[in-house]
Amino acid sequence: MMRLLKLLLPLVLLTSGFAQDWIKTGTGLGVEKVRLAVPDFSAAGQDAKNAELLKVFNETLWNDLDNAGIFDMVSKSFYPLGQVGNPADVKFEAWSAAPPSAAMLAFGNLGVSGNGMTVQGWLYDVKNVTSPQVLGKQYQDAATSDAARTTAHKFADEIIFRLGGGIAGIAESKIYFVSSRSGHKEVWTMDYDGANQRAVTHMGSISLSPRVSPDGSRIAFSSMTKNGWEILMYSLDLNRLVTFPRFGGTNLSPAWSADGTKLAFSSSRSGDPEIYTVDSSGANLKRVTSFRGPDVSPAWNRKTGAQIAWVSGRTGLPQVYTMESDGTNVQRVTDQGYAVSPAWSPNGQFLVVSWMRKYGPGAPGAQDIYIMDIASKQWVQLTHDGGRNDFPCWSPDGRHIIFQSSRAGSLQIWTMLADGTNQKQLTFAGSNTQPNWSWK
Amino acid sequence: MNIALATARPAADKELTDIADYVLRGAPPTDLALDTARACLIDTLGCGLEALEYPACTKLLGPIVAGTVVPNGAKGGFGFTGGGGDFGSRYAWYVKVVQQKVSENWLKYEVDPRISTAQRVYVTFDVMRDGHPANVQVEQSSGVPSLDQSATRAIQRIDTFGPLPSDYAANKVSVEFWFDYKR
Repeated sequence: MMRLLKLLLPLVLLTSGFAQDWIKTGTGLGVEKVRLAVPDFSAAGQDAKNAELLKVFNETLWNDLDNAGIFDMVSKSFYPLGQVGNPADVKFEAWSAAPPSAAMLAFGNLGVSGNGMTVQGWLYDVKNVTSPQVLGKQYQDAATSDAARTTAHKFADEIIFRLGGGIAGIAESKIYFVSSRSGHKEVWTMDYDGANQRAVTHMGSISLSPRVSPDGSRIAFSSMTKNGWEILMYSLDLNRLVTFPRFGGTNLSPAWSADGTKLAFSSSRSGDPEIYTVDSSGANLKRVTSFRGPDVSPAWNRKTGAQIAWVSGRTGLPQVYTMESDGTNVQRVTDQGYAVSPAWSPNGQFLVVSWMRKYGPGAPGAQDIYIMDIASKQWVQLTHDGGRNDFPCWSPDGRHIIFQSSRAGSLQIWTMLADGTNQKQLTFAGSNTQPNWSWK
Repeated sequence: MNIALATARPAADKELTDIADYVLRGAPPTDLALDTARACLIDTLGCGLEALEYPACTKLLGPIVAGTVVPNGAKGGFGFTGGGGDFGSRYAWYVKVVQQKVSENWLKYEVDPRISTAQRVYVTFDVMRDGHPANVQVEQSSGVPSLDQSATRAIQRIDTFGPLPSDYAANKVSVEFWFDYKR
């Protein structure tokens, strides 16, 4: 009887509950990188200025997309002939078939009129002829090469955001680091790709371990003052030092919590170096560790803000540990050798550390960058190319790692994808160390 | 190791032979028999459609073949009609993003190391307007708890797939994702 009552229900169902879309997909379908073709943008004007800005724009856009680590860039020698400056110019079949075999096409045009520059850019799914447009953008800015670079960064980041699963691109992020090229170790900054290198501080002393705040407005660093090593605070909005308390003893390696309200650092004010936390205003100083032996180099969990990884020398050689930010639940992460410089991944799952796995007489002593999965304690070695590799730091998108390496003869800053591939040197002049990547 | 297999065909079940006999006997059905059959057919269809509303029933459907789009078809079917319903074809790039991101976040070493191969596990979830995954459920278990768990974790680990395409009208899209495990 119940079954017969249900006879009436299908009629109701037919008119409701059908407006839902399903995606059906799975593993093993190949997760190759997206094949992306990026023909040079075309010139919408004729003058020399237009050509000059176009060159900057095209180079920057290509490099940003190539550096992103999520695309298989289709070599330009495979491109069909003819400019692609507007949607009407796109010959779908020519791009989607071999030899380019592109999945995606980024194209557009750049025009200069007077002091202004207009850029139109599109991203097309060339295998989808009926509704190809993934992205269409127009930018207006001053007709300068800086603006052309910035516009290319913005458009690249839009593409990366869409095709990279909602993670913002890093083309507009900054690196802070220590450089000796002025004769003193000062805090310097550069774009993520090594462009626009310039000094931030002019202390005329020794400044180390710059760490930029999550909102990008301040840099905390340690500097040799006349009272010893203290934590200093530099405002990037005001372009000068701002007040921060002196704690006494040797104070090193400040680290911001993810919400920007706290700093952790090491201080020897009570004897042994121990980890302390303090509000970003300088108030509420709290001692977190009290172990025999040095405790240094804290780093907050960037995802939860609840844990701190740090380096402890309690067993002799330095090892990496994690704990809750109140000092409870101490866990050892590395099991041997000499491990320093932990930094947390943006998603909170991984630590990146600098590690000499075999340390001591007879050991080769290579110092390499490793990633540790905190939950499983599995690790992956990222550098193998000799030299001493130290001070790793994650990019805001979690896809890149920046670090210092001696492999080129002097200490320089290098970048790589988080799987260890695509290693590139970013600095060349003087000695450049202790890189720190902005949070966005 | 060799296993000897019996190659002789066993006799058909009695129920099957009875049905075959009944069909082949060829006596014309009575009006009552036809009426009953019609009621049975309609009842079956009705219950079938109604069942699509119950996750306990829909999880028994499948497997679904990769990339299949069935306009006005079944499970399926009921997923692909009405309100747009062409997500997979219009936004193939977004489907690819989901596929890539889940695959990247699936940590196979979370699976019990004693397992070398297992049945496909099906997991369903929704991607909300802002791109975050919600309502993660094992739709069809692999029979290996650690594999099922690694699959749901792969999705829970993801903060966002990126906002749904801005010209897509609905406020979520549902995903059925399968994981094939082989060591």
